[in-house]
Amino acid sequence: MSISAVSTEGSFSGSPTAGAVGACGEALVSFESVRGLLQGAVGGAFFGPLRKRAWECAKSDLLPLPSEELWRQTPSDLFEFGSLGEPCQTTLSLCQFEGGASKPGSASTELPKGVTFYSDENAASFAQMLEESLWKQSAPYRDHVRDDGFSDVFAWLQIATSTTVSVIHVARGANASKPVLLSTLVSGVGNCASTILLVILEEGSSISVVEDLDDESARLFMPRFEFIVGRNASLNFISLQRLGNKARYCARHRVHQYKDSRSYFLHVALGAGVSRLDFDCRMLEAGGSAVLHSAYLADGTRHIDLHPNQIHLAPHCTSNLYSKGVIKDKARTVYYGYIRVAEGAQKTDAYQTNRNLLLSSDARADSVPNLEIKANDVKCSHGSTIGQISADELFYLMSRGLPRADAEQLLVEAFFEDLLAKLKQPELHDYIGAAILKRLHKASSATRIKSLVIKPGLELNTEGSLHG
Amino acid sequence: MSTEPLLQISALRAGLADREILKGLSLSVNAGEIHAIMGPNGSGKSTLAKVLAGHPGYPVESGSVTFNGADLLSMEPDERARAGVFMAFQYPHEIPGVSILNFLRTALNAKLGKDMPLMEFRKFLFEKMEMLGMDKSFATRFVNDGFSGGEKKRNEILQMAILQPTLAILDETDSGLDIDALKIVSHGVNTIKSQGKPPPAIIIITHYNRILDYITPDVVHVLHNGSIIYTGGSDLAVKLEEKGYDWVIESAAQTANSQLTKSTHANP
Repeated sequence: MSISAVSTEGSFSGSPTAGAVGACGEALVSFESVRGLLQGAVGGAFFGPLRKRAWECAKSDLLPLPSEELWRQTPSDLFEFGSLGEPCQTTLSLCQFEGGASKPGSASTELPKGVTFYSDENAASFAQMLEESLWKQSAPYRDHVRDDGFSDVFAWLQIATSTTVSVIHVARGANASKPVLLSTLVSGVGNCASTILLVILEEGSSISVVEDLDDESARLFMPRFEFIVGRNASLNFISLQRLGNKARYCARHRVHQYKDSRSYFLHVALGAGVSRLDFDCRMLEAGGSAVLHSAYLADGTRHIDLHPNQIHLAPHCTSNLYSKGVIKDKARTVYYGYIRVAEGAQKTDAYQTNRNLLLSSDARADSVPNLEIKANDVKCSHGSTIGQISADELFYLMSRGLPRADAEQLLVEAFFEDLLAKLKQPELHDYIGAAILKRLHKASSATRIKSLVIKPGLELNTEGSLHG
Repeated sequence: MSTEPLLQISALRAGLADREILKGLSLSVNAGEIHAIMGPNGSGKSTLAKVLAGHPGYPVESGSVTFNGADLLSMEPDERARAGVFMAFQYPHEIPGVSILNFLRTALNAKLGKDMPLMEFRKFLFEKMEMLGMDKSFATRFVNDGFSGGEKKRNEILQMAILQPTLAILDETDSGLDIDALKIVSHGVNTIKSQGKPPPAIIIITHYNRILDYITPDVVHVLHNGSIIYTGGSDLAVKLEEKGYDWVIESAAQTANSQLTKSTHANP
């Protein structure tokens, strides 16, 4: 049973305009509404009314002005929201991760035991799963998956332009040791591609998900991912964004962590002409820990923006954010991170570090870490650096016989390597490393580049394929 | 056998952009010789090492340096390294993200001009690490990252063992080392020298001269105010330890004065 794109009766005329942000009624992406939305999948009478309402809200609500702090460095007009038309058909698919040999779109019967992927095809069993397991066990979740800050014009736009909602469900106690690959498949003529994904880890379960967003089209991509990590569950999520130069990417990811849960994220931003990720990590019960890593590489005239928020609502949780970026040519990046510790979230350990390496005089990096701490017995810190390749380090390498260009390449690869070395799975290390390398050398005049650090001996043809 | 010195420095004037530190330094080093350069702080010892290695922060005003007959000063730092010059840094840099194995293999391949197979290189590396008493686990650690001072200096000598230079300049390798670390490092240098085909020439720059208890120099020079004021045999090091630098500075000044007097008498 497939769900065709539901047109909201030609109401994609008009567009959101800039102005002061206003509220637009109750939160659309509360658990209740998502449940309703998901249940509505049965019979295909899906989404339409919800999307229509979202579109009305989006039109009446206003895009942020450049003078607003959170949008000052990445003006919303970069995304061209004003020219949104009919969305294209966008679906997600999940399969086993096999490096370059993965087969997105293949049957999800190959998924690890205990992992189920719900979307259009199995909408009926989806609703059933919802009623039988998730809803009953989700009582502690319901109050928390509420919008505090994610309920704004972008949320409406994401819903209005989504043509599907998907769920990755990991059963209680299931431990999926091999990673799975999440792919986005876009078809049709529309100029925006939005997706809504819920990832639900039941108590004691674990999963590793790799998202590879690799699309050359000039569309606006607006994914909205919500991760619910149940008690004692463990989530690894690696997102590789390598869209084409004319694409725009405006993503929102949120993870809600329950008692003693663990999460590990690696967001890698390599593509799109303008890219923005708002990422909330919310500690809802004691004992949670989160490792939030990100790597970005901005070349040409790319603009990459990262807005992570570590939100501690419960005591005894740890969150550690480590974000590194390389900026070259005339590109620009923005890091704007927040650690918010609520009153009562005692014994919080929260750290954020952002390191930027500029490779040209026109490159620019902004780094703004923030702390908002309302508890009095916590350990929080933040650090950020913006610098160039150290002349001393370069000299050290050259004095051992490396030509200048090789020494520079080695130092840039090394800059990312310490993030990659922290990836638990070696097959992912090489896969992500090769993606970074390709982007690093895209503008190079050489046609073949050899990796000096990330995977020594790995040879890349700068046009496309991998060798070695 | 060539009678030309391996390294010939003539009237070298160099230093920082705003300050001359080497003021007409001349020095000859033959292949396989061990020269010690000593001197008080500020005499220009480290500057000499950096200028020979080609550090961009130390421009050369005038003078010449030939290495194996070639003009060293016109070569980039990496060219000099590939030609066979190696400097063990006084303060070695940390390179997080690059493993020792990876780094040294890249450097050696650059010198050889071709890729040594990984297994062969690993064997070679582990041999040298064993010689220096380094645990194999160091090979996968990031270069100097989190290393103690002694471990960093030992890592410099490991690099020397792998790259097998014709001329090695040890820039105050002994400073900051305790006796045990010093013994290990010296043993490494002596082994490299004895196993070298040909044995490298070594310039040991030292302030405290303890290292000279373990590595015996053929020639000892005293550097003062940017030039070499006194040259002697290995016994000079012992004398300096007993008497300090003042006597040699005075003695050199007297000699210079008497020469000046002689010349003014000879050429009025």
